[in-house]
Amino acid sequence: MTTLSEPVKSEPVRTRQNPLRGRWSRLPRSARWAVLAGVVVLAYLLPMEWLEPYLGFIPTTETDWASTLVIVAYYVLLALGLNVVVGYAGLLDLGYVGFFAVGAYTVAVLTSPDSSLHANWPVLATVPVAIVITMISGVLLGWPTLRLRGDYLAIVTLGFAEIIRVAATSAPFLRGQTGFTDVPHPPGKLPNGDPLFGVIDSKPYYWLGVTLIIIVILGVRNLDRSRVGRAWNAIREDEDAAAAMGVPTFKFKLWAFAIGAAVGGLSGAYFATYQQFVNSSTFVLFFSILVLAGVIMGGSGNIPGAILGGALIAYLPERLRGVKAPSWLGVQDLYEYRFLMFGLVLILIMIFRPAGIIPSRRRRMELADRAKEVTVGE
Amino acid sequence: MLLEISDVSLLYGRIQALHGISLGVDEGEIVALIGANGAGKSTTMRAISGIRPVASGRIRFNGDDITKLRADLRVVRGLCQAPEGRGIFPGMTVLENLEMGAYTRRDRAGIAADLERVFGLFPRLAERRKQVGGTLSGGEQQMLTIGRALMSQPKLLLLDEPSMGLAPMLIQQIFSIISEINSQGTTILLVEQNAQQALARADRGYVLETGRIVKSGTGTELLHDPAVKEAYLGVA
Amino acid sequence: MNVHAFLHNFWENTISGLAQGAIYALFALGYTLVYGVLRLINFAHSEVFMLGTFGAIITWQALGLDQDSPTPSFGPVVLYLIVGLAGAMVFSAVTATIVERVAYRPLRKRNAPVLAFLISAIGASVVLSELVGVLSRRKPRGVPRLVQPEAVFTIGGAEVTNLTIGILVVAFGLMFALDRFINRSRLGRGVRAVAQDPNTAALMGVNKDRVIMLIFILGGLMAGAAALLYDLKIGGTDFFAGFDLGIKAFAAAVLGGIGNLRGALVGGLILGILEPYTSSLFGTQWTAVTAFVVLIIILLFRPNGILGESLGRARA
Repeated sequence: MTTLSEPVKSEPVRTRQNPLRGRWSRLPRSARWAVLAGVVVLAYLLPMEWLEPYLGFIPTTETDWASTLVIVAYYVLLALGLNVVVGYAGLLDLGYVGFFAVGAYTVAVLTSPDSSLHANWPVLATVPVAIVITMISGVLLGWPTLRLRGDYLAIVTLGFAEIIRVAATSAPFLRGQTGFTDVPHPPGKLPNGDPLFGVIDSKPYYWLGVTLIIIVILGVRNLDRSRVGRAWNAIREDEDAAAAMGVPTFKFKLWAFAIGAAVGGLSGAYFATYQQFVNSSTFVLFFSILVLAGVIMGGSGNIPGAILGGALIAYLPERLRGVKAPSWLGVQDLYEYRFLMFGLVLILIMIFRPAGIIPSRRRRMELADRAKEVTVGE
Repeated sequence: MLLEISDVSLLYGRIQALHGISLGVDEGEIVALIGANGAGKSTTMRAISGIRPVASGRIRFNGDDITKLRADLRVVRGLCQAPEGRGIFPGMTVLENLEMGAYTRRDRAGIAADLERVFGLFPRLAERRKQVGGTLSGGEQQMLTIGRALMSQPKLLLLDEPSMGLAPMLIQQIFSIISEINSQGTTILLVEQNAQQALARADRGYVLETGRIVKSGTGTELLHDPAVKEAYLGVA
Repeated sequence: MNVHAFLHNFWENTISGLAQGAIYALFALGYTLVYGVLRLINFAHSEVFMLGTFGAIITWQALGLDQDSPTPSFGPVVLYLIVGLAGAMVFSAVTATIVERVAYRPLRKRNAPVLAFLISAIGASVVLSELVGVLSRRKPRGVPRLVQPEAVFTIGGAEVTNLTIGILVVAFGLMFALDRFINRSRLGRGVRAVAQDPNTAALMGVNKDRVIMLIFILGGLMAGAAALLYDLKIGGTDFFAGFDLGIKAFAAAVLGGIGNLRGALVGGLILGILEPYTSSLFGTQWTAVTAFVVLIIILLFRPNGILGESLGRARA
């Protein structure tokens, strides 16, 4: 094309950079590793009694601190798994608790003396089985539904969780409200002969949880940086374009679903052996929504964001136990108002940080790019 | 001046699409804005109609500063755009589409009269008034967007690529209708890739390149400008 | 599978299913309107309904009626029902407006991603249900006995009560009115215009914010009417009434074709009828999953629902 004027390069306008992230990425590699190692060590030390005085107001007052941390650990696991589905592949899953339930029930059915199978498997052997079965259930759910458009997936996954819950309540084999008792602890003995995993001290369970979290983080991070991760990015940003460029979108969406399901199943198995008891009332829909809110509040598509979000939704309610409410509220404990506050916090965070507390870098870019597109309600 | 744009810049995310554009349209004129694909013609239209916010600069219409005015309120002031391409409501009938054009008006009698006027200009639309917009041909859809914009009784009609994708016969027809609308008293700002036709009909014209106005003059001047000829009229 | 029970109760189930389905359909309209225009799942719509169920009770209470009041005579009953209906509709519409203002509009202005809208709507839903939970001390509230169900006629041995007839008349009447409004009125055209092409709608002088407010109000009014009918049918409500029913109503909207007003009607009625059928065939505990099993099956064959998506794509 001939032009009348000198060609002008359009200068890109700089987007605002997160100052913290800038500093972090400028750190030398060794320093970054040192910080990460410090975080991991701190994570392991967190439940130690001698550390508690230094943590100020952080430890919970009413609930045992180490037990709270165990709850945090399985929520974080769930958030990490759901982050693969929602954050990486961009699939809206409202029924993630279904996979958590499948994992927990698999362990319970195979180990509990209440089970009509009377399998009495060693608990460690059931964990891989639980993971495989949840993966299969993920594929079974995903196979017919992942071809549907995003918002339909939301209602269908929600339905899946309801079906699982109703099955757990109604099918005699799954024992409904009565549930399964005496799900065994993992094996292992302390030097003094006491079992390593028990009801008295929750610390070993928490350490097990942290270890599982680290393994999952490493796995998920590698996947995200691989070809699979690039395919997920492409699908999330524009599924049609990805398909047009030859990305087998269905296959990769199914992968995301299966991997997310597997992590959910792992979390369920962990929960079952810790709690030693599994019944149908744990797996209410609200639980799924809670975890989803955690992931998006923290910053979906971003591992630190998902961890933070998962941890917050588990920790904050426990922290509110025993906090005196002002007398005019008419209740003793702020814990009574935990959901009310949770709801308000969700709205506020979405208004002021729509991409989450720790947004992923890619999400920030997408958000900036969205300015070009037709937006919600525009 | 009816419309006066001074030093307007506009950003698409991180990309600057308009670099300080200034142009004006006088009452009663047809003004053409020509340029290649991606030069910023449609972006200029969006800035004027208020679909995209401007980053800097001012837009005055009929003496008032409308730079920050919402798009729908600009329609009330008499500024209406016929959007590019297939900018019709595909699920509405021709009649409903035209009624949408009169959305801001309440004078039933006036609306009915304008409907007859539009059907007079575009007899094809009258024949298809009950047909759903999405099933019209390209040329009919184009007529519908113009007719619909007329239904708002605009002081200034913004036409975005009215000839795009049309057969040569139809292009002739559309342009003569544009002249007719103008002669009935509506000022027109026209964005076109078909520079020949646009400049021939226009009182004045502007040439837009990579988000800047690089040339302006009367239609005839631009038609005979060697550089314009070479770049846009396909004549060496 | 209990085919005998199914056949034996067929007419009774069909009639009560139709009444329940009409309530689902009215409730589903709010999801469909918001989805049709904004492409968002309005998660807080369940609480818009729930507040309507309380709205009617509060209105009656203000008139001196509570659940122990004796049933008044026919004339006053009609008056009470109309005032209660208005109360429920106003409560729901006001709630819907607040939700739009607080949980949606600020995000729209900030160009937030779609998921952020979902989460803030979930937040709004939690706040509303908890607020009512705290205020009602999490106890169910009874409804005054305004209508004593009486058989008016029978079909296949099953009684059709005055209540059932009333529910169907109110629900169909309102749906017809809404359909007319969206398809025939100037404002309704504005709604369809924004649903089909928001930018072009703005070029025609449509104020998007006002249209969005309008659809929330319309959805709220319909949910409020559904809430009153629910009150009368069930005889009471609690702070959690919206959640389960909301999920089913949303499923009904998707089933019929979300964004499509008549789809909400079709989806709601189908779901309403199939639930008692499932219950007789397989046992009551499976009623809750009927919606989803049917939904999955339908979506496999018709990925956009029975009537397809569209708010005005073709004529609604």
